[in-house]
Amino acid sequence: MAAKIKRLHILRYRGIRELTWRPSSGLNLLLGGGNVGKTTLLEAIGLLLNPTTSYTLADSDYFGRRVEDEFLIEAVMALPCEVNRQPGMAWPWEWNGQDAILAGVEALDDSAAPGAARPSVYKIRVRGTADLELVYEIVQPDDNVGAFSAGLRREIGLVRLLGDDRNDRDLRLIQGSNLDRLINDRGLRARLGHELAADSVDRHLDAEPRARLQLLDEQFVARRLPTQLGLAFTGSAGQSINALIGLTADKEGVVLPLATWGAGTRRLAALAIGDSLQDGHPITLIDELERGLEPYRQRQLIQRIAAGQGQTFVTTHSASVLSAAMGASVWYVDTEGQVGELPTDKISRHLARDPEAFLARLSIVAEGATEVGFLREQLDHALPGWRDLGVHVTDGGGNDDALALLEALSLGGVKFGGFVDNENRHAGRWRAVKERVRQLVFQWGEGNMEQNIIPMFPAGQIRALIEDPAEEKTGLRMRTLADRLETAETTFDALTARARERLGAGADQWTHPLIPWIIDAASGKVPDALQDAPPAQRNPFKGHASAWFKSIEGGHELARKVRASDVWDQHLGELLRPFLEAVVQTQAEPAPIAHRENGE
Amino acid sequence: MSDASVSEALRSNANRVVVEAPAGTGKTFQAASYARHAAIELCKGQKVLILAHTHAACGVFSSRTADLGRRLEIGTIDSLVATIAKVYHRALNLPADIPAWSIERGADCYPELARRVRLLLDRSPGVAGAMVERHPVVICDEHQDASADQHGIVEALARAGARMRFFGDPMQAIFTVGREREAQLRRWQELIAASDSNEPLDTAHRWAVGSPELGAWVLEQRERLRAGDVVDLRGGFPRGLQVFRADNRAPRYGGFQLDADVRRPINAFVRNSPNHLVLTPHNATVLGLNAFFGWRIPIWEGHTRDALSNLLSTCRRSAGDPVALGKAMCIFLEVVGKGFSATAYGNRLIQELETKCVKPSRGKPAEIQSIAHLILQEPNHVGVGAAINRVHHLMRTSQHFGDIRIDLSQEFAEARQIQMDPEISTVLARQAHKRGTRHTEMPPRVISTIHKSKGLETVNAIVLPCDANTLANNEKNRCLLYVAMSRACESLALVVPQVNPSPLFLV
Repeated sequence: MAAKIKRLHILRYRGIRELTWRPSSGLNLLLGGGNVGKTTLLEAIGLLLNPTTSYTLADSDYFGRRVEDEFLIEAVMALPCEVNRQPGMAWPWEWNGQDAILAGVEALDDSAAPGAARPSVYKIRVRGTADLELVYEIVQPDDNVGAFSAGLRREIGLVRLLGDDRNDRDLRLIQGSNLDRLINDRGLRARLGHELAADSVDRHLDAEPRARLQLLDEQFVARRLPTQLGLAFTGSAGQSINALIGLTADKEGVVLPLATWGAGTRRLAALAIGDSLQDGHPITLIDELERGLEPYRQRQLIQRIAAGQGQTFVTTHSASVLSAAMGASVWYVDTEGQVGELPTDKISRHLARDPEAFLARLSIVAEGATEVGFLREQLDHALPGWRDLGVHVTDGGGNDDALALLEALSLGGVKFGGFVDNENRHAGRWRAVKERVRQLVFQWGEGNMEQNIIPMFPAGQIRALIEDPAEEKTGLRMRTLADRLETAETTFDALTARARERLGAGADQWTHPLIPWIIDAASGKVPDALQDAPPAQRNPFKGHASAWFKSIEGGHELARKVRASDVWDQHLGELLRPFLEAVVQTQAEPAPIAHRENGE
Repeated sequence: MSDASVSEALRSNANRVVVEAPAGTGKTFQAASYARHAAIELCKGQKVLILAHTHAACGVFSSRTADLGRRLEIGTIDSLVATIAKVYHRALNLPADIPAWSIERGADCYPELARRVRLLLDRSPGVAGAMVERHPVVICDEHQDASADQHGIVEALARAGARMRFFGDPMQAIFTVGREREAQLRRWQELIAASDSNEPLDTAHRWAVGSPELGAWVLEQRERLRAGDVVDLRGGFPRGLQVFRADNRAPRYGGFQLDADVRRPINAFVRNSPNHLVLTPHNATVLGLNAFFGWRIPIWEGHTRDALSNLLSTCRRSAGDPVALGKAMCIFLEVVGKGFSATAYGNRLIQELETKCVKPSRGKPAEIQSIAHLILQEPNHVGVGAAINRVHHLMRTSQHFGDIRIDLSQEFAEARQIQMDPEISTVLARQAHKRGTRHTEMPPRVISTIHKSKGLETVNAIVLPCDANTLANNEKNRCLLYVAMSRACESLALVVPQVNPSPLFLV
C-alpha cells in the first residue's frame, strides 16, 4: 500500500502555532499569499518523513523560538506493509474519515454486526524536544510509543524539491536519497573506502610541499610519534564518501554533474528518479513548482503529477500550474496559518478562466465585465498601484456564478471581496458570504449597476453620457434608443422629445426623460411587449448592451464619466466609500508571520 | 511414510493444513523443520509465528529453532491475547496494566480476555491484517486445546490471509469436560473439514531409542481408546510394559498405602530408574503419593503458581488490612504444604492480628506473635513476604514448627521473595514475566498430575492408582489415560488394583 497522509497536525513548528489538515490522497495544490506558511507546511512533512537522521534543529524551528515548549508534527497515515515488518510491532488504528480511532467495541458481544472494514492507519510523529533533539515515534493504540525508524521512513520514499536548489541531495548518492535507493548497492561504500584509502595523495604533491611533509615526519620521529607519514583519503565521522558522488550527464562531450544544469532540469531530474523507484508511489513535496520552468514545462509537469498515483504536495504562484492542474485538490493557506479547501466543483471553471484570482492577496469578484472595468477605474483613484499590491479584480461571470465562487473562497479562507448586483435571490447565502468579510462585499440595494448609476446623472450631462469617447459607438447608442422609442429619428433632441411624450406625467421622476431608455438599452432589457416573442425578435434588444457599457472598457468609460461629472461627489462616492475603504484597509493588515528565519 | 506426506503437505501452497499428531510422533520436529523451510521464503522483517498453549511448549520450540533467530516468533496464544489486549485496552474497555489486572482476576480472566480480543479482531480486520503482514505463516500447536474464542482469533488470522498450519491431537484433549469438551471436539472436526489438506503422523519416534514395541503398543491403545474400546491387559505385553496389581489401603481420599509385599516391586521399579515420572490423575493423590514415597521425590509444580497469584491479588486488594492479609497467607500455606492448620497456627495468628499483639506471651504463641508483628508493621505484600520468610525460619529453628512440611517448594520459595520489592506492581510484573520465562529445569524424578505432565517426555513412568474411582470410563479419562501412557519411552508401569480396577482396562 502506498503511503498517504490522511491527517496532519502541527503544533508550534516554526511559524505555525497549531494546524490540523486532512489533505487529499492525490495532488494537493497549496495556494496562499507570501509568508503564510505554505513552505513551512511542506517542510514539516519533509521533516516528519525525513529518510535520514541528519538534521540539525535550530531554535527558529520552534514557534516563537520557545524551545522549551517543544514542537510536534504528527500524521495519521496509511503506510506501506513494511510498517509491520519493523523490529517492534506497529499496531494499526482505524480511519473514520476524520481521525484515527479504535474499533468501536462499546457493546462487547456478538449481537452487533461486524463493522465495515475501515482502512488501517498509523499515527506517527516527530517531536522537537527542549534539548533541540528530534524524536521519531509511532503512537500505538494504547498511546505507548515505538520507534519510527529511519529505515521505515526510507521505505515511505519521500521526494523533496524544497527551498532553493543549492540542496541537490536527490541527485547525490547520500544515504536515504532516492538515487541511493534506486542504485541500491549496499557494498559500494565499503569498496570505495577501500579503493580510496589505497590511493595516496602525497605522490601528487609538488616537491616543496612534499619536503614540508618530510619535515613533519622527522619531528614525529623526534617525539616518538608514529612515523612514515603520508596523505590519503580517510573517512571521518559523519562524512560519507557517497555524499561526494553525484549523478553526471554528458553535455556536448563533457561529463558534468547534473547539479550544474538549470534549476528546472535539476528538479525534473530529481522527480524522474523518484518516479523510477520500483515500488514507488512516493510522497512528493514540491515548493514553487514553477521555479525554473517555462509555462509549457510547468503544465507538462503538473499534468504528469496529477495523473500519478502518489500523494503530492505542491505550492505554486503560477497561473499556468493552477489552470493545468486538473483533478487536483486546491487548498488555500490563510494568514492565520490555517488550511482551507477550495471546493473544486465550484471553482474549476473559474480556475481555468482566471487562475490569478486564487493567487492574489485580495481577490474581488465582480458581477461581470462592466463591473470589472468600473472597479479597476475606481481602484486607480482609491488605491493607486493596487495591482502591484496583490489586489485582483476578477469577472464573476454573472450573479449565480459569482455567488458560488464567493462561497468557495470563503470556505477556503482566501481573502476576497465582491462587487455584485442584487437580483433579490439567495438572500441567506449572500448574507453568509457578507458576514465573513463584511464591507468587502458591495451589493447594490436593488438591481444592477446601470440601474443604480445612470439615474444619478443630471439632465445636463446625459448627452455626455451617451457620447462614446472613442466616437465609434455614439451613433449606435442613439440607434438603440430609437429602436426602443420606436422612432426613426436618432438625434438627441428628437429622442428626448419622443421619450418625454412616451413618459407623459411619469417624466418627473427622472432627471432626464431618456434615462429609463438608456438603462434598458445598457442592460440589454427585452421590452415587456416582446417577452414571449421568438428569439429572433428578442435577441437584438439583448445585444443593445454591448453598444453601451457591457465590456471591461465600457466599465472604465462609465467610471470615468462618473468621476468627470458630479455624480461621484453628489451620490456615488458616499455609497461606495465603505467598500473602497475596506479594500484599502486590507493593505494595512500586517503580513501574517513576520518573524521568520527561513522566510520565503 | 506419514512423515514424508506430512512434510510435503506442510510445504504445499495450501492455506490450511491440519496435522493430527499423537504423542511422540515427531510433531515438534515437523513443525520446527517446516518453520525453517517457511522462514526462507519470507520478506525482510517477516516472521513465522508459532502459537502454543503452554510456556513449556514454547520452551521446547525455542530450543529446536534457535538457529532461526529473528525470523521466528514463539508465544502462547494467551500471551498473544494479552499483548493485543494491552495495545487495544481502550477499545476493549480494560485498564492499561493487563498483567496486573489478570493476576488480580486470577486465571479466570483469560477466557474473558480472549473473548474481547476475538470480538476486536472480528470487528476490526485491520488488526489481523497487520499481524499477517508480519506473520504470513502461523503454526498452531496443540490446537485441540483451543477454546472457541482462541480458535476465533486464529481464524481471524486465517481470514486475513495467513498460511495456517494446525497441529493437534483430539486424544490429548484433557482440559475440558461436558459441553465445552463436545464443542472443542466438534471444532476439531470442522477444522479438518475446512482444511485443504489433512495428514496424520503415525511413526512412534519417541520410543525409537527405548522400546519401539512399547511405542507401537501405545499407538494401538490410542486407537482402541479413541474407538471407545478399553486397554487389554490380559497378556501379550510389549517389552517395557509392566502391570502391578495392588490395592490401595489408605482410608482417606487422596491417600495411598499398599501392603508391604505388593509394595516391594513398585519400590524397586521406582528406585531403579534415575529418570522417572510418577503420574496420577488427581491433585489430591499427588500429596498422598508424596507421603507414600517418603517425600523423596519432588512434586512437579509445572509453570503456573496459582496459590501465589491468589495471595498477591489479595495483597493488592487488601493492603492496610492485616487480618485479611493474615487469612490469605494461611490459605496459601495450607495449599503449598501441610501442617500450618487453622487449629494449630491459623486461628491464633488471626487473633493476634485482630488484637494487635497486645497480649504478652511466651513459647509457641510468642513465635506466632512474631509472625503477626511483621504483618502489622507493614500490612502489605512486604509484611506478608516477611511473615512467610519468618515461617520458613521457624520451621528450621523452632520445635513448635517442625511438623510443617512444604510440598510445593518452588511456590513457597517464590513467596518468600515477594518482600524484596516495595512496589506490588513490580512484584506482579515480575511474576507475570516469570510465568512466561520460567524454564525451570525439571528434576529427573518427579511426582506429577497427568495434566501437568502433558508435553513432558521421560524414560520411565508409573501410573497410579488405576482404580475405578480415579479413572471411570468416560471420554475424558480415556484421553487422560492415553496421555499418561505415552510419556515414557522405555518402560511404563500401571498400578491396577485387584478390587475395583478402572473399567478402562480389561484384566
